[in-house]
Amino acid sequence: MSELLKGRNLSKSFDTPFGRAVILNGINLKLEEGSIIALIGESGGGKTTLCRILMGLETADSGSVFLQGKEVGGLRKRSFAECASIQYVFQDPYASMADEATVISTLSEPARLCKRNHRDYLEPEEALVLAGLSGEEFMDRKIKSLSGGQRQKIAIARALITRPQIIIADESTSMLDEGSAQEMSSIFSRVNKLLGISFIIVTHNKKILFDLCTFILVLYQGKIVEAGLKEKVLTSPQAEYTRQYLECMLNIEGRTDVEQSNVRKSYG
Amino acid sequence: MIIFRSNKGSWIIILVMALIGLTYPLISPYEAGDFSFDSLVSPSFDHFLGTDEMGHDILSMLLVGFRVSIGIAIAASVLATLIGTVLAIIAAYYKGLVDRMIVRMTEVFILVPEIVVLLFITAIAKPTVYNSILAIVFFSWSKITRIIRAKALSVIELEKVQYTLLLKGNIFDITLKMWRELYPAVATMFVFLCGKAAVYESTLAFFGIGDPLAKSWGQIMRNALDYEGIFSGNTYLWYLLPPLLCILIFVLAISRVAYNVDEIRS
Repeated sequence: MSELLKGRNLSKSFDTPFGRAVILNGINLKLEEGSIIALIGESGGGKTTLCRILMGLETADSGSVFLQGKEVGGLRKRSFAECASIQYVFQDPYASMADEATVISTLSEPARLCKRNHRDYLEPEEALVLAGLSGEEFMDRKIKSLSGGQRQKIAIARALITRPQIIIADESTSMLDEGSAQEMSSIFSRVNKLLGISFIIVTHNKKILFDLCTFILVLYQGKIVEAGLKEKVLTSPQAEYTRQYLECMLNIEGRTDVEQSNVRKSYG
Repeated sequence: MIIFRSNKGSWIIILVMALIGLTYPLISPYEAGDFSFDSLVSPSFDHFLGTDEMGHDILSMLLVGFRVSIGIAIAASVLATLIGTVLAIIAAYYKGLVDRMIVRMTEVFILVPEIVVLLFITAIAKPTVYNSILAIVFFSWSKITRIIRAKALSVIELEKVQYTLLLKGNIFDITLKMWRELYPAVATMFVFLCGKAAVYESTLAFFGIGDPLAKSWGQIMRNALDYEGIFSGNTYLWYLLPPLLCILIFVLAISRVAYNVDEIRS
């Protein structure tokens, strides 16, 4: 497996009224082809900042991002091919698309930009089907008439159009009910298998964490405190924070004892 | 168009005034330049607003003023809004050095007392309508740039715009994406500026710096005040007051519309 995306020694701090807040402190991470990384951590712990740095929307104070072995700078320094090969699904499906646009015009935007830059792209209809929506009936609908889950699927369809190798999904399931979140998880899985797209998914969703992902990264107080294969992290977490996190997830979120023992059985 | 519905009265006033400006040759009783009538005639059926000291029909001049004054106001506002908005979007899109340079430039224009410089410019430049327009534009674009830039800087951070940035959208793609959020601010600024430009133009004419041949409302007022006997009788009632009222009504109607556009935006 070759290495697609690598972050080396990424640090970022912000000025706040209470002094300088260190958000990220020497983060190293690596995404391999075909793998799915689940990124977990505290709220306000820098998960979104990390994603934005990887995307080039934010510049790191130090450290660098490598795309297929080649160092890429901020957004303005990246070429179109580099930009198109890594796509971002924003956290808030209500903010990331223009309300008044139709589905087809939303999806044809990346297609148009690809065409302009001579890059192969997926037809909007295909992307829509891959994202779990049946093409025809949705095309002419306005984005504002869609529900949160449908919007998020459109956002994923939009991310697929440029034929990326990497999709970074920032809490794509956080605004959805459990059913839609599971559906989202199976869409990720399908896209991963069919198109070989690798994912970095920021998530707090059990389904994604326990079933979908292959790697888990735990971000705590600006550092990666735990990184490894899912099975290893879930069964024998090393860091105190990871233990607490898993504890909370298994107990508080209403898992029955049976479910818990199932989880323990499959990973224990 | 919600803006239309919410402020019908003011819109109707503005549209009627603009219509008069467009069609005045059809409704004007006499040629505006014709001074063959008796001078200083009181209002009558022949001359609704009487005649001036030279023998011009005042109503005819006033009607020409609709075209000249409103035309100058709109032309100046269109130009200033266009320049201001384009610079604002450039500043917000390129950020960094470009942004700083544009901001410095606007600061210079905002800091100098505009009306004095306006008078200065039009005094040394040829007194033509075009120079009046350019002088107004010269000092109006900077405020528009500042306001639209502030708005654009916040709109460009919206995720839907960031998406286009992530795919290397150029400045036109970004403008298109931002337009829905920017448009109310741009429209408000444009409408406000129309009112302001009308007042500017009158001020210029009033100081005797505008085009003396263009019969704008300010120019008529200037002529009225130049006539020594304007207040020694009732002459001012049909000579000085009508152009003043026209400016007043136009600016008030404009302000109401602008205020409304502003409210809809927020």
